[in-house]
Amino acid sequence: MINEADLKTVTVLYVEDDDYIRQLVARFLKRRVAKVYEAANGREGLDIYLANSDEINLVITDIQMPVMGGMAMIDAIHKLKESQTIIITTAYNDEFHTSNKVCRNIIKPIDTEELLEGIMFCMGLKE
Amino acid sequence: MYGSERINVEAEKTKILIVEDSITQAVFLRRILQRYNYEVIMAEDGLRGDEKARETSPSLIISDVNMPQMNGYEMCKKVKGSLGDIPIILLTVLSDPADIIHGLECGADNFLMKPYSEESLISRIDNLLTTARPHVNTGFEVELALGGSTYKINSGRHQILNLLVSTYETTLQQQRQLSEETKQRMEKERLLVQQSKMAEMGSMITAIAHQWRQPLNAISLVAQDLDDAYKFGEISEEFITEAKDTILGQVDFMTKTVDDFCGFLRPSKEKKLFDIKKAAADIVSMFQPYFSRGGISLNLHFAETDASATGYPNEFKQVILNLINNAKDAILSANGKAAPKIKGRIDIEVAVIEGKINVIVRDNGGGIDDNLIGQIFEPYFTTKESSKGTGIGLSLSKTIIETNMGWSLTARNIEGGAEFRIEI
Ligand SMILES: Nc1ncnc2c1ncn2[C@@H]1O[C@H](COP(=O)(O)OP(=O)(O)OP(=O)(O)O)[C@@H](O)[C@H]1O
Ligand SMILES: [Mg+2]
Repeated sequence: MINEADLKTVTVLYVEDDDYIRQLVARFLKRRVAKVYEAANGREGLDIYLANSDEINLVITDIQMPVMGGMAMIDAIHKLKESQTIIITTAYNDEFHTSNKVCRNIIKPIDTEELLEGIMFCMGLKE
Repeated sequence: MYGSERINVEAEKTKILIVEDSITQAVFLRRILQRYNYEVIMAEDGLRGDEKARETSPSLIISDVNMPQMNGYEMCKKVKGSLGDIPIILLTVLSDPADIIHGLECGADNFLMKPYSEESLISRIDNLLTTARPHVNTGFEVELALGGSTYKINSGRHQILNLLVSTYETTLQQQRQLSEETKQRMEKERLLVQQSKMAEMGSMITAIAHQWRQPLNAISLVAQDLDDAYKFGEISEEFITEAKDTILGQVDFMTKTVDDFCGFLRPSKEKKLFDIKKAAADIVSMFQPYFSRGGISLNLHFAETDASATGYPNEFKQVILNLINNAKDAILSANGKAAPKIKGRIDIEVAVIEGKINVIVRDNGGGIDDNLIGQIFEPYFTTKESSKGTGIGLSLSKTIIETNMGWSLTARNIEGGAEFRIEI
């Protein structure tokens, strides 16, 4: 049983280099969760994470990005906190763009229903 | 009426002597003659030919020209001298005009150029056996100067005419063969170009598909957001305008990508002066996103100086695309084998060296096998499986650069990879 109200306690770090997509997905998230931090590449994402790691419950990240890619950022975050829950959103369903160390790999184009279901599952809000 | 049919009754089989040193050719000829019901006698050179002619008195002799012991001309002269009434057909390759003179000089009755067709062989035999052609000196003697020597020819008109006709026939036949070969070659070339166009279209479509992923994703999100925003009561005029602008912005981008690629696929109509650096940059910007997806960086290094040249700009871009595609394939295949994986990179340099513009494409994909590097520009040479390569990329690139534009395209191995250089 999905109860969207439970998401109101969740803080998300969302990392995506495409401005339109970041804006649209962030908007979708903001309607449902407590807070959304936005970053345009792995470097920015990592900086925000370092400053707010206590607060951030969930990281949602693209893979292919300039400056620092998603994989490098995920590795750095996992070194800090192995248990950090992460969801990948990527355009490519291949070994370079997906990982089995994250909770979900979501292939673009993003279906917001699927994303929502993934978030609920990863946050343990749904069996 | 059976007059025109060649039905020989056993008793009156016509005897033909074949003088030919090549067994295969002799047997080939014998088979044809036997099929037309001639009795065949064979001799393997001029000396034996002359002997057999005396022993068996054949109705006709067919003789090769180049043979050991005694050649065809000599044998012909000898037979004509003593057994003057046996018609002789000489088989020649006719590589030298002097062959004709030698043929006439020795008194041969007819000539057949190798390779000959069955019909022309049989029609000549028929002709010689059925027409009365008394080989007598007609009294007129022609003196002919050719290649520094003078030849005395006293062949009959009949012979000269025969020779003329058979030479003409052969030339026609050869020409027909040649134009058939030209046609086949042109067809093959057309196919080659066709295939490479298909391959090019393939990379285009992959690149377009790649370029379109993000905008398609954005448009799909806007559509989903409309629904969501309505549920959350956020729909306003401003919201709708923003959604519309986002969609149109993405559509504009998608249109531009397609326009870029269509422009690139159109062949350049004529040679013109174009900026080599800009052409290289254009092709890189079109394919960079696609390459970086594979983890390969495409880097440009441009000389400060102006680098313009006269040529076909789109074809030049196609060559660059072929080269970077090859480099990408090399890197991906090297990464398929080696661990740890290399960080793939392709460097495109435009430099002016000793007044010449050089376009250099280097990669770190491990280079080309030393045993194979001499063959890479040959059509259909490929080391890739058939779904990945047809082996025409480089051969076509070489034609474009060298034949169509008069520049040069060369390849060599460098530390860690391959280097292709266009010198303008
Ligand atoms: N940069 C390179 N590094 C290593 N080998 C190369 C490189 N470029 C070309 N080759 C070799 O040369 C061969 C011929 O290249 P060519 O572009 O003509 O054909 P292809 O790439 O196999 O097929 P296609 O017709 O699809 O281009 C390749 O199969 C490969 O073995
Ligand atoms: Mg190729």
